[in-house]
Parts: sequence; C-alpha cells; structure tokens
Amino acid sequence: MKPDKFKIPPTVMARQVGDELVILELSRGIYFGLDPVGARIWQLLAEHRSFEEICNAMVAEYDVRADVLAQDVSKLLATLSDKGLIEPADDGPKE
Amino acid sequence: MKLKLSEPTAQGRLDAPPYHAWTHADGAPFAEFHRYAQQYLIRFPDVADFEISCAEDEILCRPVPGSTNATLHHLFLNQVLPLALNRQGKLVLHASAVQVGDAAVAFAGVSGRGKSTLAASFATNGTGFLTDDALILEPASDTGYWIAPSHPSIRLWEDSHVNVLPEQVPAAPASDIGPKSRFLAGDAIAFCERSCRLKKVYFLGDGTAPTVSITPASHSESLLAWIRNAFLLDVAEPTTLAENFDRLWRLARDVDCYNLDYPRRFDALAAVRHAVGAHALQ
Repeated sequence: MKPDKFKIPPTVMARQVGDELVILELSRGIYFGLDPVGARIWQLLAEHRSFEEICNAMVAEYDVRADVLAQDVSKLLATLSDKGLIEPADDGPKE
Repeated sequence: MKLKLSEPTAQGRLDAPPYHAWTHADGAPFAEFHRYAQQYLIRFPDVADFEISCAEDEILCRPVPGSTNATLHHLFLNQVLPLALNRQGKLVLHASAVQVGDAAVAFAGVSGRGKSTLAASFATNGTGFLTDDALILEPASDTGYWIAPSHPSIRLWEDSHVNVLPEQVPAAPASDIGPKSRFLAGDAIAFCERSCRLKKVYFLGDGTAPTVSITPASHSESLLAWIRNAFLLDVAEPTTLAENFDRLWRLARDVDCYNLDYPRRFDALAAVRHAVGAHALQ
C-alpha cells in the first residue's frame, strides 16, 4: 500500500535557490537538494496535492509520458519519505 | 572575544555524553561537544576543555597539565573561536580570503583542498590575505557582506611552506596538534588589516582539472557547499540549525560563487593567481 498524500513535517524547512531547492531536516541535520523538476514536485507536495494530482500537473507541464512520469514521481516520493523529509498524510492509504 | 586561561587541571568525568563529536580517522574523539544551561563545553581529550559562555564575551580554557600555549592558542583560534562566533550569530566558514582591488575574494573548501596554500601564494606576492582558514562574514547594511580580518597568521603543510614561502620566514612555535606550521604575517607575507567587501567566492575542486578552470556554481551548489564548509557550534539544536540555514541561503543567493580547480602543483600557482585576479576584477 502506498500513501496517496504526503505532508511535510514541521521539522523540515526548504529554501528555493534559483530554480532548485535545498531541504533541511532539522532534527537530524540532514540536507537534500532537488533539481528544478524535483523542486516543482516539492511545491505540489507543499500544496497538499495527491500523487495523482501531482502526476497530472507534471504531465501537463513537462514533455514526458505519463507512465514514465508516474514512476519517477513515485521514486522521488520514496526517497524523500526514506529520508524523513515527507510523511504520509492522515487522509488514508491507497492500494 | 577574549581567551582566559585557567590553571592546568586534569579533565574530570562529565555527567552526560556529548551531543556531538569530531573524530580522528581511527574513530578516536578529537573534540566532544557538551551543552549546559548557560554555556557550551568543548572537550579536546587530554588537551583542554574550553567553556563558551552564552552570556559573556569570554572563553575560558582549562588546559590539561603539559599542554603547550601554542597548542591551546591553535585550538582557540582555529576551532573554538570560529564556533563561538557562530553561536553569536555570525557566519563563519572554512575559507581563506585575499584582497583583490578594493574588495576581497574567498577560497572555500574542506581541509586539504589548498585554501591556505593559495592564500599564502597571494600573500607572498604582495596581495594581502584576510584569513587563512576561518572566514568571518558580516552582512553589509545595503547588500553583500564584509570580511573581517582574522589572526594575521597562516598555517601550512611542510611542502607548502617550503615551496611557497621565502626561506627566511620563521615558523611560530609549533602546536602539538596536526602537522601544519604557523607563520606570522610580516614583510614576506602580506596581511590586509581592514575589512573588505566580499566580491566573489571560489569553491576549490579536487585538483583533477588539467589547467586552471573557473565555472559558475549554481545557487543550490553554493548553498550545499557553504553548508559543508560552515562552522556550527550546535548541530543538534533545531532553532540554531534553522537560523544558520537561512543565513547560508542568503549568502548563496547574494554572492557570486564559482568552482575553481587547477592542478595541485606549486608551479601552477602563478597561473591560478593570474586567472583569479583577472576573473575577480571582471
């Protein structure tokens, strides 16, 4: 089961640098950088968009196949989640 | 900020484990960090304890019997003072800086990248250095930053001082920590005694470039490089981390940063000085 929605914990802060993003996890002092595409996904996460909403928005904005995009978004969310930079929102899991 | 030396005394056992530690390559602790209500204590095992008061502008050093003054002052200048200044809200970074025209440029990088050697190369060719290792930045009232001059001395590995410094420059008394020797500024090593505006920053590469190479660093590259090269006393306190992150973010946003790499040969330093001098004045 994958969560459909994620939230950004209060211990995480992010700053835009140019068109990229640098994220700091305060409780462990972990830093993480995102390229412009990752930064856009982060922005959508911060707007409480669901996985599907994020994918739809990205497909509309970038020249990419929907299935490839979904895989890439899924991978990034898994990485961010593993690092404790995002966590499942309380809206309930999705199969 | 003043250093006050107490009588030598053995290091007692501390109640709690450190919240953070720096270790040698073999895992042995080099420095252990303890936080108390009104002060921080940095313990250098078998050498000294340094107490940084949160309220007073003074650092108390309790040396272990047998520690030399050269060692204590080395630890104070190169480790403790930069951390204490960071606690006061200042930006302190692992970087050297030299005067170029009416401003200054900084060379940032982790230990071994050649910050001090490059600064010494400029300083022995008449261009004053402001710091060899701990870059102290003050935000300007308009935009940008001022570099405050640090201690007028440069610490160099033996091969660097043999190849970069004139023969007659004497080393200051050696510390018991680390293989570097300290050389005081003077006729042979030019020092810039006044604050200068920071114009550009160069992050030093790993020396794999076949010739001198200067390329722009992106904002995110710059921020992550500053994070790696910042002195931060309290790495475990979220408020301090957040404040420091914001200061570094503004620095990366407001100052032009570049990646500088060059072959790590002493005969290449003249070309590096020439390239940096021309680039900095653009």
